[in-house]
Formats: sequence, C-alpha cells, structure tokens
Amino acid sequence: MHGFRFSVHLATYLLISILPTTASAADGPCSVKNRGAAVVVMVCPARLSVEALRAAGIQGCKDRKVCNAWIWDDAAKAPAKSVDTDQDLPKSATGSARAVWISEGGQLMELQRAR
Amino acid sequence: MSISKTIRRAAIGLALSASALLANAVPTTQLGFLIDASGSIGSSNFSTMRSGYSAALAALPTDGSIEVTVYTFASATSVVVAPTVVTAATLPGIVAAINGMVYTAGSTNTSAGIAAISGAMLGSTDYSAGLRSIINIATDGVPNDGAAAIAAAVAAEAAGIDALTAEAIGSIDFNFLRDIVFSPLTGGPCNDCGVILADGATPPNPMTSAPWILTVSDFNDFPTAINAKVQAIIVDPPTGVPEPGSIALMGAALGLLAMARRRKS
Repeated sequence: MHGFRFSVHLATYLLISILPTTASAADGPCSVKNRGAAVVVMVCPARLSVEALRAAGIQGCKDRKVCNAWIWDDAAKAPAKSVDTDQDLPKSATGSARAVWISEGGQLMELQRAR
Repeated sequence: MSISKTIRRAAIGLALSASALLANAVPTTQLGFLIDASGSIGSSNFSTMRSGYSAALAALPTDGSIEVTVYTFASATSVVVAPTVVTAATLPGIVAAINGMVYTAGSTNTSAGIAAISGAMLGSTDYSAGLRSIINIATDGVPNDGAAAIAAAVAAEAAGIDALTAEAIGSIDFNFLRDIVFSPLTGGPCNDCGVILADGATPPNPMTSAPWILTVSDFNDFPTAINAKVQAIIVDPPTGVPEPGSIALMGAALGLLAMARRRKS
C-alpha cells in the first residue's frame, strides 16, 4: 500500500513539475518552436483566426520590439534550428509559413497560400 | 488534296495551337502597387496619381502573364485590386477599380501597407516560388515609424517578395526609402543600398538591377514615371521556359513540316 501511495505522490509531483513548463512553451493554442535574436519560430493549429494568430505573435515576441514571429501551421515545415534574422530563414520553409507577426509595426502579414 | 498538303495544314494547326497555349501562359510576374493616400498627398495630387496608374495599367499585356494587386495606405490600408491576372476580360475591371479608388487621407502607416500587399500577393493562388513578385510603392512622406517599415520589408523579402522599388514624389526626404527597397541583386533590404534615380530617368528592370528609388519632383510627372516603371518590368520579361505540353506540340509541328518537305523533294 505504501508503495502505491508513493507511486501516486511521485506521479503527482512529476505532473506538477512538468505542467508549468508545458504551459510556458505553449501559450494559448500555439507553441514557440525556437527563438533567435530577432526571429521567433512558432507553430499554431491550422485554420486559426487572424485574431488568434495576432495574439500568438504578440505572445511569441513578448516585449521585444525588434522581433518578427513566423508562424507555421505544420510543425514539420517550420525550421528546426533557430535563426537570428529573417534572411537566415530557409526559403523552403518561409514558403509554407502561415503568417508573420511584425512586432515593430504591430502588423500581421498573412501568408496563407490558397490550397 | 495531296498528303503533303494535309500534313502541312496539320503542322500549321499544331503550331497555332502551340502559340495559343503560350499566349495563355500562367502568370510569370506579380506586380503589386502600393499607393500612398495619406493626408500630405492631397486629393488633387491623388487624382493625378490615379490617372497615371490608370493609364499605366491599361497598357499591361493581356496574355495572362501578369498578375496585378493594388492597395492604398494611409492610417489603414485599403484593397483597390485584389490579386488579379490581367487578361482582356479582366483589364477593364482593373482599370475601373483604379479609377474608382478613394483618397482617404490620414497618417503614413507604410509598414501596414507593405505587410498587407505582401500578404495578399504571397497568398494568391497564382503565387509560386518561381514567380517574379515585385512591389512598387509611391509615396510623398516619411512613414509614421521608419523602423517598422524596414521590419515589414525585411519580412516581405524573406517570405518571397523578390523586389521592392519606390517612387519618391515631391520634396520628400527619401533616405528612409533607401533602407526599405530591395532586389534579387542585393537580397533583403540593407542600410542605404537603394540607388536614387533622377526625375525623368528610365528605370531599369528591378529584377536585374540594384534596388532603386525613382525621384519624381512633381506630381504632374508621376503618370510618366509610373508608366516608365511598368514598362521597365513588362518589356523585359523573364526568359520563358516553355511548358512540356507546348514543347511537345511544337516538336510535333516541326516534325510534320519536315516530313512534308521530305515528301515534296
């Protein structure tokens, strides 16, 4: 019985330890995949509204003004490595991005390709 | 009718089919026009710009090789023409939309304009990585936020816009424009890399030149300037690679012509 209680406590402790990390990595429905000096790579669910994308971008850039948050709706297509500038993003990846939040001007550039 | 005549007619028919196919080619160029409609322009000057755009776009080829997008920007942005392939059927509507575009006045939110038109062009059904995507911005004033305009241009370039050129109208301090223009030659926007072209200069093709800003000393010169810019792009089309279907048709036509000639001799 002690062994069972210990396991339950351990599981609870592990859950509590893990949950805050997960919550900070996934703000709302989106998550930050990687972060460079001026570029944040994010992944959001497909068919997210413009408002939700905007909110995700703001959250991704946090308080950084010089920041472009690139958002993909397919995690496999988002760049795996962090980059510091937009020009460092591979063209093969930017072609499939869903949107870019331009923090400096407070603009969302929607890039959704017609499919 | 002799066999050689039949073959020759078939060859001519095939050749005509091939040229018809080439005439209805998919777009090779996206042209985006971002027009300043802020308070400093004034309704009279905006009207002069409108006439210039109307005439310049009316002269676009209607073979389906060009897609046009037109936005105005001031405090906010407005869609004048959503991405539309220029054909004989669509051109009158495009010109009508230009003639009907509204002067809004307000501040100069250049970054919003760049973000909006880039997103529209890159989101078009015609967009592909091989397409030439060129944005042209006409403005007479410095943006509300210069750094924001640069950030938007940087994102646009990274997302797939190939070139951004500008007309600086009137006594504008055009130095900020030198920071936002870009071309495939230089890559993304870079500090002061825009070349200043004198009023009346013939602008080069933005796809094969350093990024440039065409100065237009007076609004009355704008119609000529915008026409020169459009012509610089459309008279120097990319080296077309015929589609496989067209190549096959042309090959068949040439083969039939050769057969006809051999029979005759």
